[in-house]
Parts: sequence; C-alpha cells; structure tokens
Amino acid sequence: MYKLHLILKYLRKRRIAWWALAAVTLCTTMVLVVISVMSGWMSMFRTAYHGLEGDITVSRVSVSGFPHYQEMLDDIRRLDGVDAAMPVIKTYGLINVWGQLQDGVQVEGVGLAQANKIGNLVQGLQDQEPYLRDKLATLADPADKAAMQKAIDDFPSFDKPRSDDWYRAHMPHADTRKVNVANWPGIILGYAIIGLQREKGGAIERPSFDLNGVWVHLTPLVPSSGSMPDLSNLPVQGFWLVNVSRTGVYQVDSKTAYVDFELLQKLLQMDPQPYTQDGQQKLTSARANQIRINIKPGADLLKMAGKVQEVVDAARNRYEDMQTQLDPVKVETWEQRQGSFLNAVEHEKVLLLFLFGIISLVAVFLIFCIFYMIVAEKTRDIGILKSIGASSGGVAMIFLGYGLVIGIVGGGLGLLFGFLVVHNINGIHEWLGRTFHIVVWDPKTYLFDTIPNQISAENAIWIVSIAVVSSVLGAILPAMRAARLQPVESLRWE
Amino acid sequence: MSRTDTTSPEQPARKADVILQAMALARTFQMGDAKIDVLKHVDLALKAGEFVAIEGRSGSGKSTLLHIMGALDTCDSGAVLFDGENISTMPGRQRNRLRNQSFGFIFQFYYLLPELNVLENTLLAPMVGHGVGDFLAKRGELRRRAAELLAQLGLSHRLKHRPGHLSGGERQRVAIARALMNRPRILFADEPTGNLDGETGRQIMDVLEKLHREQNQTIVMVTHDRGLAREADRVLVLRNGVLASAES
Repeated sequence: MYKLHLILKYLRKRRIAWWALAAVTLCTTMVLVVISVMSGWMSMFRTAYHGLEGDITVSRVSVSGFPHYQEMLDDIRRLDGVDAAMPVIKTYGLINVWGQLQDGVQVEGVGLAQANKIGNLVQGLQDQEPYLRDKLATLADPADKAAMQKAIDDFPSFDKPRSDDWYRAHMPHADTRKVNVANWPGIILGYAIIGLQREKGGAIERPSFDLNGVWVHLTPLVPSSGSMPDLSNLPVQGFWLVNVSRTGVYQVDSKTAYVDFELLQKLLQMDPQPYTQDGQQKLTSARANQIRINIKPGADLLKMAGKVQEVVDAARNRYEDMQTQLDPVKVETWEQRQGSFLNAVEHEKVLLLFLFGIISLVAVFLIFCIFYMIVAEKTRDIGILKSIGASSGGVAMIFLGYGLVIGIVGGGLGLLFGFLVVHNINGIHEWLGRTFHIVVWDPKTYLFDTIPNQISAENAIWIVSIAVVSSVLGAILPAMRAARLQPVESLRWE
Repeated sequence: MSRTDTTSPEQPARKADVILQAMALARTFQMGDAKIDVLKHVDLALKAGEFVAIEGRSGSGKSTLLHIMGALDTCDSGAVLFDGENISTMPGRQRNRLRNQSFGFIFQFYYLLPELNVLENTLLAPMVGHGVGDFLAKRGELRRRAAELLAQLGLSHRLKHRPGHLSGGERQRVAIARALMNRPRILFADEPTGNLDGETGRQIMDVLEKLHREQNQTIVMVTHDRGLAREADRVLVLRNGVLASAES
C-alpha cells in the first residue's frame, strides 16, 4: 500500500519529478509529430503518386512515344485482373495564360471519361457536377444554358460550359484577326500554375473573375521522328480554361496542363500519318507515350505487371517499328516507377529512426539523472521506510513505479499534445507564416501543399509504449541503488 | 524513579522473562586505515515491560548497539535473540517483518516523511505491513487507531499538517505515534530528546514514562544525558565498547 501511496505523493509534491514528466512529454510529442508528419508524407506520397499514373504504366522516355498502343491497349483490357486502361500523351510546351503568364509546362493528353477510372485527376477538379448545376441555375442566356447543360451531361469532359457568343465577347479583338475563338477547345490547368491558393480545408480558392473567360495559348513540343527536329513549324493552339485541377502533388499542380488526348495527338502529329511505301499510300500507326492501367482490387500487382509485359513483348515481336534499340517500351508498377524516390525516402526514415533512437537515449539518460537525484534526495526517507519494515524490493518498486507513472502520464500528455499539434499543424504553420514569416513546409520541397495531419494509431501505441519503457529503464539503476541501501546508512545520510 | 541495575549485564537473565538478549556482540568500523572497535563484547538481557536506558558519550557506540538490537544493522560477531530466535541470522524478509510488527523506533531527528501529513506518517507502519486490499479493508479501523494515538499525544488538531509545519516536540510525538501504531513489543528510542529544548524534551520523556507505566511498554532508550537515563528502570553505561551497569 505504501508504494502506491508514496508514488502518488512524490508525483504530486516533488517538483523535480515534473521535469522528468516534462522531458517524457516533450520527447513523446516531438517523436509523435515528426513520425506522423514523416509517415503521413510517405503515405501521401504513395497515395498521390499512385493516383497520378495508376497501378501499372507502359511507357517510353522519348516524347515521340510508341506505336501500336491501341492494339496493346485492347490486349491489356482483355487481361483477367485489369480494371481499366487508357492511353496518355505526355509532352512539354509553353503556355501563355490570358497574356499575363508565360511558362513552360508538362502537357498531358488524356481522355477524361477514362481518367475517371484511373488516377485522381477527375476527383481533383475544382468544378464538379453539383457546382456546375448551381451555376446553370444562375445563367439566363439559353445558349449559355445549353452549353452548361452539355458540360454537365458529359462530365468529366473538356466541354466549354458557355456559348460561342459568350467566348467571342470575352476576346473581342480576335475578330479583327479573323480568329474564331469559339472553336478553341477546353483546357484544364493545375491550380498552382495560375497562382490560385488552397483555402482552409483544402479547397482551391475561387478568384473574383470567371475562370471560364481565361484563354490559354499552348505551344506544344512536337516530337520529330526524323534525324533533324523541325523547329520552324511549332503549332500554337488557343484554348479556353474549363476547369482547374488539384492532385495534391505541388510539382504536378504547378506545372501540368491537361488537354484532350485526340486533340493533342493531332497537334503533335502522333495520329496516323500518311507515307508512301513501294508506291503505295499507307498510314503510320498512331502513337502514345503511356498506357496507364488500373488493376482490380485483390489482383497481384507484380503478376499483373508480368502479364502486361507479355502483351508488350508480343507487340514488339509482331511489329518491326516497335523494335527500337534505344529506349525500349517499359512496363513498370507505380512503385518501380517512383522507386528511386521511394527508396531514398525509406532510407531517410531509417536515418530518422536512428536519430530518434539517440534522442530517446538522451531522454532515458535525463530520467536516469533526475531519478538518481531523487533517490539521493530521498535516501533518508528510504532509511525511514526500511526502519519500519519496508523491504528492498518494496523500496525499488516505489522508484520503478514512480518511473512507470511518469512514463504513463508523460506519454499520455505527449500523445495529447502530439495529437493537438499534428491535427492543427497546417493552421500552426499558416500562423507562423503570417505572424513570423516562417515557412517550414515549402510545397516546392515537399511536393505537397499541405502538411500531413493524421496520426496512425499503431505509431502512437509504439511511441507511447517506448516512452513508458524508457521511463522505467531510466529509473531501474536508481531504484536498484535505493534497494541496496542499508537502513542505518540511509538514516545517517547527510 | 530510576533504580540502579542490580544484576550484572553479563549475568544471564531468567529465560522466561527475557524478551531480547544480546550475546557477545562485537562491531568494528573501518575508518580509512584505522579500525575502531565500537562494540567489543556486549551482553544484555531485556525483560518484557522493562524500561532500560543505555548511557554513553557521543561516539561510544550506543546507537550502533540499538540498531543491532533493533535489526537495523548487523553485528560482526555475537548474536541477538528475540523470543529466543537469533535475529542476526534471520533472512531479510523476516527481519523486515520484525521491524514492522515487533519493534518501534524513535530517532533523535524524528525522521518523518516530509510529503506526508501527520496522519499519513502515523499510518506508514501499517501501510508497510499491509497489502493494498488488506489496508483498504482495515482503513477505517487503522485511521481510528492513528487518530486516537495522536489525540493521546495531544496532536488531534494537527492531523492534516505536514511535518514542516510542526514544532520539534510535535514531530517527535508523531514519530512516537508512528512507532506505536503496530503495537510493538519493544520500543527503541535513540536520543529521543537530543534535538529538543529542556521543556519539550521533558514532555517527550513524560510520554515514554507514561507508556511504560500505563501500558507496560518495553523500552530501550539510548542517551548521553545521565539525568534522562536515570528515569529508566535500569541504566547501563557503554564505555570503551563494553556495557556495564551504571554503578560499576
């Protein structure tokens, strides 16, 4: 009984123990925050990159892409375990937005209807169906309404949600140059390209002007299949902004423009091109840069990648123009594709764990020192307890129990503070930036525009358990010393 | 009140009366290169209900003798028998139990736990002797006994006060209450008035005498104060590591 009573008394009355408690609390909070952010970042990274390109990709590095993608696509879609597959064209280009912003971007040609099943592009669009319906209700012009209704019916698509007259009215000087701006197709830009900010809660801000009235000129880099690139005839295409996207990966959202797959294919002359062979007019095979594949839930990723590889190998054997010596068509799982980065981050995590191991040792040593001081300070009390019959084990248990309680209370408080910090970390970060101009999390460095704010229950249990064990470990030697003290020695302690 | 010892300390007492017996106790302390024989050959027989004072100068070894007899320390040679059992060779657990159940201690510097209040300090001995469940089951009874003891010692208004807020005399009375909580067979008092002024020391001695007189409490007290020693039934003098009767 006296052990429990004294543990609780010492905890309440001995201020020195509060330092040990504060040390355990701080260490637990710190480790929890860093591990949560790090793990959250890894998890976000995996989710986001997984979402960007699907489960498996067939691709070449070269912007000229590869032919016969349609045949391969058909074979891949027939594979048991494949959920969806779509072709993608990736290239680079220059954009001129509204005559106010010129920048180099990555241009992706995608079919939005298919992208709905692969990746997170469609889910990340700012204007979703409910918003378009609300907007429809505010429109008065029947032609505008019809265009908006079509955009809703076709969603997700590159359909322009306004009438031809509306677009002409938004670029009056175009008529003088005899340019029919109403024919310009739709384009989607990453939200960060045009400087939009992310609002509290993650939504993209809505600017005061109508984004649908923003025009974009795109000059894509046309791959040359000949020995000399033809730089004299770069196409320039006008577009109207129909939506903005947020994948959550800052590097993507600040540098990617999305246009319709077939349109880009034509612009880049990757659609079937006529040529003459043996006096006969023929067409080349259409080209794409990537095939993105999503597999069904439960299907084995590596096995599916193997099956896709077989399809690609068969196409290579079948078609001569697939047999390139340089830069062959590769099949990669999303993990293999991001392998170099994922591995680097995993190594960083190991380094971080090592560093936290050292920090934990420092915490154990701190608790050890504090407990050693407490035992020295309490030596006479130990003598008193022994003089009234307390056993050595009982005295040791007081200090071990004291350490255990400090570990449990400190770990618990650390968990609470850690949860509060992690849960509000984006708010804290914004406040730091606003008040002290301190920007710790730069999305350019960390890829994402938000700091991960989820605590994994598994991590929390591990960290608090280690805090409790560390506290007990720190108290073991002082407790053993206390237990070994002879009653008379202790009573005479000065 | 005091009476002179009529039996030599070396003389074996009648077995039936003897509660504690020290036989040929020796204890040497090593101080650097020097060896100091604090106890050379000490024999003592303590009868139940007796109040024995051991007088000696500072450093004469009287506290060491008290600690050895009270199972707080061990001797280099010799034996201490309590109820005929040699406590010097008892296992630690049994010695702990003896200190908790059969012996009570009062020290010169009171030795109260500063974090506990008067009532909690008094309850410390039964707390050590009982497990959590057992103590909680008897808590009411134990608290009543502690409160009664403290009331008898004039401390009923101080139950919730911590030792830092008490006078020296009050602290010593709390220490007496703690020592008596488990109804010890022998009360060991090590210079119980050594840290108190004359008047307060007198009050403490009155408490001990009353305990001895009214409850037939067996008491062994060590003191350097000859005047106080004379208040005991029997006075022994420890000189040069040997115990002798006051008149020898």
